[in-house]
Amino acid sequence: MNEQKKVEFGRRVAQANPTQLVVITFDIALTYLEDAEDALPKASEEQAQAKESSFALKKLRESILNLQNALDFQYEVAKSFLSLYSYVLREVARAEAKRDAAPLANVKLVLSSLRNSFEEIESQDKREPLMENAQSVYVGLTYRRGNLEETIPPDANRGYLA
Amino acid sequence: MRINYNVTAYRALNSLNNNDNNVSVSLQKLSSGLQVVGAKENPAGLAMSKRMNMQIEGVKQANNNTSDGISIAETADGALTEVHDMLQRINELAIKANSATWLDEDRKMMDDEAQQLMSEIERIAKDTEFNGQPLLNGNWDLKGYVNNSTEVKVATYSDDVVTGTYILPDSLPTVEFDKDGNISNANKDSDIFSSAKKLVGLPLKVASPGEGLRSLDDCVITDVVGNRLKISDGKNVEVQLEIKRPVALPTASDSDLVSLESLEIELKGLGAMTLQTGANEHQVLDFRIQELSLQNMGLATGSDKKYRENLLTMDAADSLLKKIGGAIQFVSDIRSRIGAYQNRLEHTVNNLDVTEENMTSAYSRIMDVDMAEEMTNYTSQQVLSQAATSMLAQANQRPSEVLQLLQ
Repeated sequence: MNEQKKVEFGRRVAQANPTQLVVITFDIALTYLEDAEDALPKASEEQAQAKESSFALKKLRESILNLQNALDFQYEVAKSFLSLYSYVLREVARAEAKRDAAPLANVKLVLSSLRNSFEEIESQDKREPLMENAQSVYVGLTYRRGNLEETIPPDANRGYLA
Repeated sequence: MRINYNVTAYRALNSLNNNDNNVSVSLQKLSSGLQVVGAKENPAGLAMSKRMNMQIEGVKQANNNTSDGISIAETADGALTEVHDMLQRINELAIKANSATWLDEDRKMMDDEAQQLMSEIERIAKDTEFNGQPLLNGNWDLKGYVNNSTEVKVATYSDDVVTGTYILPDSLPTVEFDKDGNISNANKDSDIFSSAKKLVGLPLKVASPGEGLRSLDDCVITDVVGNRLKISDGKNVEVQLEIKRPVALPTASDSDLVSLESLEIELKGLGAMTLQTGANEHQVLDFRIQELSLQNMGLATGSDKKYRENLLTMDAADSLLKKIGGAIQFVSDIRSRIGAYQNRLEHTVNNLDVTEENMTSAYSRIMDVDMAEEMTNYTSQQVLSQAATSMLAQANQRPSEVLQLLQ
């Protein structure tokens, strides 16, 4: 996770419908997971890496809890999600305790698979974007003093259908 | 339309208006799906349905709390799984070191690994947290205080102790320490001390405890380990007191140190994590997690490294080997307690859903990566084939919550 990614995520959130928001949360979780995988191998020796990995795992856990708290248990499938999130949380705790990235491989499998499924159905969610008065962004070029930022959405159709 | 004061017409108009009102009220009822439309229509009914709404909203929140509780249990259990593995490894090392074929220099290497594992266990106790709160460092253990001594404190006590303030007898031997920082006057068989000074086996019943105080009936001091006194009634009441080591340890062994007489020990029964698991008052679950310290496990007699068990000699290895079983048992006990809480929480989630008029089956706890893989495949398929319900089940976040993850 770096500043550029945060800007990108922020832009995606501004335009997201509810299902896209779920995909974004999974993507945030996976980004932090990769940060943790990078930092954990050296966490036992280097203090900086230990802090880094702790922070990344904490954020990963928060992302999962965010998804878990959004579950509506009126629907049967919410139980399946809860099982998976509980498993993920346990594996994250193991990774933190052992200072080992191995359990995170299992977590990555679970999260990537769910993320992809939600991405496939996101076009079926006909609800409006959740943020009001957010501008439609086709290609993002914003400038501030001394700074020019460009974000290019991966699906750069710019609103055209073809 | 002009209405004149034609009474017949007026009456007709009134009834037309009334009908109109009724029609629009019915329309309102149909479109909103609510039986009770406005307070003026059925005030008692409205009051009741609003309360039920609060129940349902309360139940939804309680559901969140309950699934949080499940997450806490999983996080704690994940960490404890690793601690369990570490203890098994220390066990292996102790068995290895307990063989006469090694020289003490070889044992040093095994001890290095064992010491590192023990440090790791301490780190896990300190670092494992949920939502910024440490879980395994005694934060959520039952609290107890000694009111009238700064040298004695309550280390831990069992669930079955009746809460209240207990008083110790007014004539007990004082506690004395040896040069290693361990309590020395435990047994009467020691020939340095007269039998009047022994601690182990002393009954702690107080005949008339006084106003508001209780007595530790049927309890005796059963054991002395390091700087702790273990008090028990032989059944399920257990209290451990920790005596602060003197700053300057004695070289001679006959100095009077810490007094236990008439100590008031307040065992509050509070401190466990309270989870609100239902929509109403008193629907709570108390989650007790003991401190995961080496001392509680019996592998150390103090928090400094010099008080830890080690593998430096064959005798030391033998001692550690005897203690590691107790340590593993301690961790297992915490894990099974957490498992029991988890069962109750899962059961609560079901009950809450029943209250929401939805008979759903229990969520299943995934134990290993193969189950996880199966469940992931199954759930991903469900998302694709039941897109609408999946969206309703999961896609309920607020953008502000997601943005917070980026802070």
